[in-house]
Amino acid sequence: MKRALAVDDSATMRNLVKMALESVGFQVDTAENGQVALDLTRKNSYDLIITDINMPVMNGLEFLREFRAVNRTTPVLVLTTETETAKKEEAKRLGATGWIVKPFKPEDLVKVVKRVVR
Amino acid sequence: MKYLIKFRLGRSVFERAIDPRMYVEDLKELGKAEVKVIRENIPGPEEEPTDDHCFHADITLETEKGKEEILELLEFILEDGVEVTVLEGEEKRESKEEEKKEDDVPPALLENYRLETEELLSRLRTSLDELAQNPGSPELINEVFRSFHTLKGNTGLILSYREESNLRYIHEITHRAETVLQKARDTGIGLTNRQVEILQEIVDRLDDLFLAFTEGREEDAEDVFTLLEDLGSVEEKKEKLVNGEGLTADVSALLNVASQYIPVFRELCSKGDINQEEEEFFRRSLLTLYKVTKDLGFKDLNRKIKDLQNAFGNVDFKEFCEGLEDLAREIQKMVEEKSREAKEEKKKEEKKAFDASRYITRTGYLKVEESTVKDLMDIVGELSVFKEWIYLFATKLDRVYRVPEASRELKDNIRRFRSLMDSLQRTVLEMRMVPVSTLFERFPKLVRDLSRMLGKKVKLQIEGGETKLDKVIVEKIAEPMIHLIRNAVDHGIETPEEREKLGKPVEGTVKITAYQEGGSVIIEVSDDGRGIDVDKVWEKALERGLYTEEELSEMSEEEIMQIIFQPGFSTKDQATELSGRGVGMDVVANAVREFGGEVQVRSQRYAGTTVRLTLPLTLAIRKVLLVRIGEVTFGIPAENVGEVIKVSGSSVKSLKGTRVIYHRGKVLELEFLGEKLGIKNEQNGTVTLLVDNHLTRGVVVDEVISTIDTVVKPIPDIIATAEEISGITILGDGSVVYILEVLK
Repeated sequence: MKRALAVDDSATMRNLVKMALESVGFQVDTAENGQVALDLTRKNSYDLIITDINMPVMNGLEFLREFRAVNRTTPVLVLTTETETAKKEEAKRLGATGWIVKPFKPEDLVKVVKRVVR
Repeated sequence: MKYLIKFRLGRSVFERAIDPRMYVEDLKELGKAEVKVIRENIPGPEEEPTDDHCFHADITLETEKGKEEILELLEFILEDGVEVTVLEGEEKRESKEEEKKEDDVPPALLENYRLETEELLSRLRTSLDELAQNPGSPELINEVFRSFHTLKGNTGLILSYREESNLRYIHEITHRAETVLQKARDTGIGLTNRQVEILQEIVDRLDDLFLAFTEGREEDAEDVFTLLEDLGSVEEKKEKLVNGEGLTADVSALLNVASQYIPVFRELCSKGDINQEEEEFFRRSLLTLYKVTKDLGFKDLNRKIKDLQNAFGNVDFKEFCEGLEDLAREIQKMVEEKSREAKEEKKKEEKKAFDASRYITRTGYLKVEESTVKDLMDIVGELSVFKEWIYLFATKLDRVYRVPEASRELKDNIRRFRSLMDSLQRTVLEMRMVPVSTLFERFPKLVRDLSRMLGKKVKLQIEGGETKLDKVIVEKIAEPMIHLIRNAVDHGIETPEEREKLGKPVEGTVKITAYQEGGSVIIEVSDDGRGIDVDKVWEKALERGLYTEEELSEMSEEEIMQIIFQPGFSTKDQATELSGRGVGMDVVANAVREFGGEVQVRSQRYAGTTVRLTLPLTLAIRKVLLVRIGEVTFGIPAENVGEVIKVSGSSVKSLKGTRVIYHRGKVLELEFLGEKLGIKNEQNGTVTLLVDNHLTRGVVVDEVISTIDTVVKPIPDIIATAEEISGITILGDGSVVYILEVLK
């Protein structure tokens, strides 16, 4: 079973991502900020990570930087909003595989996930 | 349609965990594809991507799909070197605006949204209250920003499923509030008090909108946009000039210029001799440095440079070089100092941010159903009975089975078990405790709404919101508290005109204070309004036939005031919109007394009123007085007992057919419990009395055995009992004791 990590400080968003990924057969862990996510990636290996950018403690960009320093193979998708183009570019520079624009429905997410994970 | 898709991908995609071959596979699935790989050098999983790594290929694709769709598929790598050209076929103008499907929100998602929104709004209220005390705090501003941000995101999500006017408002409002907060946060400008006030009003309105959404009605919120405009246009403070490293702009400009020249100076000095060209360089450079330091206002440095300019050519070159070195050191020192300051500042901020984050994780509550905690409580109760049984068994081991060693060992372990049980009980109790702020946080809005409605100016002060109380009690006092606050604003606080005439501050104050006092929590609601008119209370008490003139004349003012808590009493002649006729303080008193609370009022004419609620910490565990009547043991809730006294049988008098005694200047009506319950009271020379809190009644028992802390359980319905019996409790030896509510 493929394993994914959903990182978002909003429980609603976290659960939506979890729900969507579980619908296509992922086992999903969740984290409410980058620090928690980073700790999880040190313990487990993931086939996919989906992270929000704007989070307390450690934001998604900081997480990406730290994570990519040790891992260049796991696809990471960032959740952005229409207006955050600068952040999207920054995320790309830091190694984000792709992005999903909020708000999205589970099926949109699944579509994007299929483009980055086999 | 036929397309040519060129892949010219390099290092950038490999750094993002992208395998371009996956996209080729995806394209193949769209139709008939011909793939010509030109160069392929893809790094292995452990390999560091370099500029040598690439994937170049040309793909011709014949497919039904439109260009839009292909571009969407390749979205993540388009900017990294992918080109899509149409070779054959008309480029269809595909309407991207698919008709919006009204498929409804998944119930789980909606439930999640509801819960989180409630939590977010409540958190916003708390943070804004704190922000009102400290409008510059970056952590608080960030917290408020984050809450708005999350609320906006979540609402947008629900909106993508279902178009709904309330949510549309919430979305727009949170978006605009977020923008203002982001600016306040990023520029470090902070918020003004007025802005915080506006934000509070906005949160109130968001609350209204959210309620309307859950109730399925439409709420008009156009008024909020005026608030939002006010919010954005409030005067801005000057922006701070701080560059990336935290150095102020002037210092980093100086550093910039100095680091250009000083190394060259040093090199030339080390040669010990200079030619004309180099001499010219010195002059020009010194001039630049002179200008820069002058412009930036570094007076000391500027003076030193001027001295050096004068010295150049007039003194020995070596001496000049020494002076130059001095200057370099000076600049170096200053930059280091500033940078250290900046670092310390940053550290301080980080530390603050860390504290803030700790606060955030700390509020990560686990939501548990109340019934689960109650079940747990019951289990703990049973366990403690079981514990006593084990203890009895240990005794039995010694006395009956004659194995004293085993008995001793068991008893030693029971001691540890007991202390574990005690902490278990304490912990479970703690689970039921919530800070009263969970209730209080609704009050600022209540007071704002009330004062708007009544045309009064009222300031609300809250103290002791962190005081903890059993959740059940917090819920039970919500209504009475709202009633008290309404009374304070409606009947207590005068109109602004009246207050001005009286020489009081135009803005009235309602103060809510909570604190713990022994085993009770005290909550006081006070106002600085007109106070209670004792004469009016007197009149009304007579009018309603509650007391006779004679009775009243024997009462103190304070005692007369307490009459307002009696059923059917209200001092306000006309029922107002807010406090309807007939619902007065008696409702408050009843609600509070129902769970063993007490209510009292103090008032000073023209100066204000304070209503004081004395509440038990918890309902789960009650202090119970064990008493004996005849052969039977009963429990009486200790909070109902004012005092225990022993009097001689001869001091019991008969008055109009009831037995009474005189105690502390009062006549106490006596109730002989034994007779009432059909058990024979012992007759010896003395009478043991439990006196109620108001010194009006006394209950006669045979003996007071002890006080215990215990879990009182309601009586199962199937058992018919006397109405005085309110519950049962199980003692350590397994025996059942009835709880008597005879003093309430």
